[in-house]
Amino acid sequence: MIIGRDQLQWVYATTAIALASTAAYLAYAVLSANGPRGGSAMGLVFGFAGTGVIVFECLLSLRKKYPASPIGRVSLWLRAHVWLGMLSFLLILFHSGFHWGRGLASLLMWIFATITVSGIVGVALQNYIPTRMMELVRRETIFAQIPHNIIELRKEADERTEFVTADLGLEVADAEFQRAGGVKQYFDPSQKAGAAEKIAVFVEQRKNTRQIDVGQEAAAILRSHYLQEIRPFLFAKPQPLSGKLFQTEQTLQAYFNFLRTILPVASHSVLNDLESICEERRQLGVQVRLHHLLHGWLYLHVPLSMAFLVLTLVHAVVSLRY
Amino acid sequence: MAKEEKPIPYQSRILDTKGVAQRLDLRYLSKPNRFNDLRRKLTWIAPLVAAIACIPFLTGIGPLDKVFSNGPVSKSHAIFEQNCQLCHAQAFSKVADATCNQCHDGASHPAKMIDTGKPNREVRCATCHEEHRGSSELKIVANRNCTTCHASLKQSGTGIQLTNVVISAFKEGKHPNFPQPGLVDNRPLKLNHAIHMPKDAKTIRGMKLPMKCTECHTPSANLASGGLEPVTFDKNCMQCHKRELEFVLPGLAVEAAPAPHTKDALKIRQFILETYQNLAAANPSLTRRPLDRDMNPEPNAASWIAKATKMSEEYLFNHKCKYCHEYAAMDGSFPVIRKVNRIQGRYVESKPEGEPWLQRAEFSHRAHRALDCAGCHAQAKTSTKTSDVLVAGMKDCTACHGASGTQIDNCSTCHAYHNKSKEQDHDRRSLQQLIGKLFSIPSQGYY
Repeated sequence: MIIGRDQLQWVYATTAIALASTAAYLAYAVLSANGPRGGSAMGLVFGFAGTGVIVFECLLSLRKKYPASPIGRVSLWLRAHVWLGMLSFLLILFHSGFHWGRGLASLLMWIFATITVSGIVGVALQNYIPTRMMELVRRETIFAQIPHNIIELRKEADERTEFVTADLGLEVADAEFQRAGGVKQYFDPSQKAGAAEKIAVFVEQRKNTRQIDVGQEAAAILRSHYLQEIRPFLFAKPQPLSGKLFQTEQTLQAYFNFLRTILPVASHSVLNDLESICEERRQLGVQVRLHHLLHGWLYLHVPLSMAFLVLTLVHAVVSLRY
Repeated sequence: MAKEEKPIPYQSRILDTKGVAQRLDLRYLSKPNRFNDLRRKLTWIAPLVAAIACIPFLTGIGPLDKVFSNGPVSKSHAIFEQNCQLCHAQAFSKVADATCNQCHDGASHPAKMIDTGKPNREVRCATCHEEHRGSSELKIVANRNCTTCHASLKQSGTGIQLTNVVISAFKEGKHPNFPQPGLVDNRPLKLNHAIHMPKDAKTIRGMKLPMKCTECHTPSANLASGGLEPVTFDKNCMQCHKRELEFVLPGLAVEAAPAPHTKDALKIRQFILETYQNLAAANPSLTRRPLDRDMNPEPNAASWIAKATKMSEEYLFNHKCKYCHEYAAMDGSFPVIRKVNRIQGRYVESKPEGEPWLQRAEFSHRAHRALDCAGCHAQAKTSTKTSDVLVAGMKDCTACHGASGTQIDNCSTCHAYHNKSKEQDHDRRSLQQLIGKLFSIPSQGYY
């Protein structure tokens, strides 16, 4: 959720409720004989109010599960989740009289603090990372497609390299969806057999002879560099040496500039494409990292919230019992 | 001969959306997403673990008190810490007074008989004595428990003249000042503190001056209040002032024991008579000594003894007793001495036991014995009259109390709530009955 001027009304409403609650708390704290406590009437009011908000917060998951339900848009729920969430922590602090308690009460406070902090961090990340991702990952793709994309990039790199080196001696790729140029094509099912046959011819020709003749020695150099450094980078988990070599855009460019100086000009178009593939792979790696950063906090926030709800129920029942 | 093949034309990468789209696997939505799956699993596992973890404590297997208690109970109730049900007898309700009354009487309020007002609302024990606040003392209660009713003295007290202070703390302007202005010590006894504590050291009748306050005013180790022991003539004055009881006529130049310090004049007369009889028996020539200024001897010993006794009585009652006492009237030859009462606290003629100077508060001299007396009673060194009130003022207390930020600032430090005199020692449940345990006290090994 992006925090913008369109949420000013939420800011005003939350601030107003927070100020009213603070005023009520101060009056209660000043007037109560033994200081604010969770078990006092006013403490219970704050406790119930805070718990009510927490329950509402947890309902967001349910609302997301049924996106078509007519009980307000998910974006509205999300805004309420963020702003009321911050308010709920204040209400619970008022409920506890700013005491951390002990035992279950203390555990609840720690969990709630963690949930609140992780939520705030999450909102901050959601406001920062997408912009950063636009800058750093120009070839962004759907996150779930990244592993598949990497495989495709590797296949493409293999094919393009074979234009200079001929057969690399790797396992045979599925030819059905490929053609010699390395650009995938989808075919009409009725034409599939014919297209596959055509592709098979291209593949065979490419593997048997070097389509770009740069000489035996240059082809061997490219083959060696490709198999030892470039190809290991085109995996879901790149080898450490390759990962380091292509860690940044600058090191990647430097590497391919070096190859361009030692290899004939005829191979440069292949090298340029390999550089482009590696850059895309590098950017996908950055996207994975940013994605984990963007969504990682949810692994803490959501399960803890659910556990918190259960423990809150236990705390409420036991506290009222005693 | 093999047909020569034309090289395949090399096509560079096309970085358009179509090229990117072609790499997509359209079945990805139907494929499992391990990150989402993990989150979903954690979302179920975490509350489940929380719920399971609570079961042992809810069923009483685990240490319930440590998990669900707000905080440790007070020192005096520490023995019950594991027995929540003992106080929390009724589910979903506050701790009832009856629970406290199992051990405590909870004597009525107000604490002092001087106050005849009735509490305007019933206060539960637990309202003031809050448990689970740590190992503090339960008798120390927060000020606001008192000021809820007593902030305005006019509304709550009886016979209280100080009404212009809204009490909120033990500070200047927030608590009535004391001692009350215009207060006078009415005790009919002549006492000059200044003479007993001169600036320059000297010795009079074997007593080294200045005297120490504690030579007369001793904090009692026996009194629960830690107040001062009463000052008595025999204990505190006799050593120096026994000559005020000497009655033998100066011209006789004989030594005799001083008269007893008693309210019974007849007893004194009898003592004087017996003294002269004994002196006459021991030294018959004594009865021939003239008693009058005209130097005429008495006709016989009996007449001499009777006259000597009468003259000594007059000497004692008309001169010596007046050194300290005031006479209300004369009953024949005997003086009617105004009642001094017990010299302890404030003098009230009708109350032999007197009253405390601080009528609504408790003060323990014993608790303050580490302090220098002059720190609070500086005026004692210059006081020349009995009527001077030498009670410490509020400003003497506020040096330590009121702004310390500790429990010694609390109302309950000085003011009692429960009237201990009305406490009843009813049949209480034994500890064993309460907590269901038998405590075996190890043998002390006395033989």
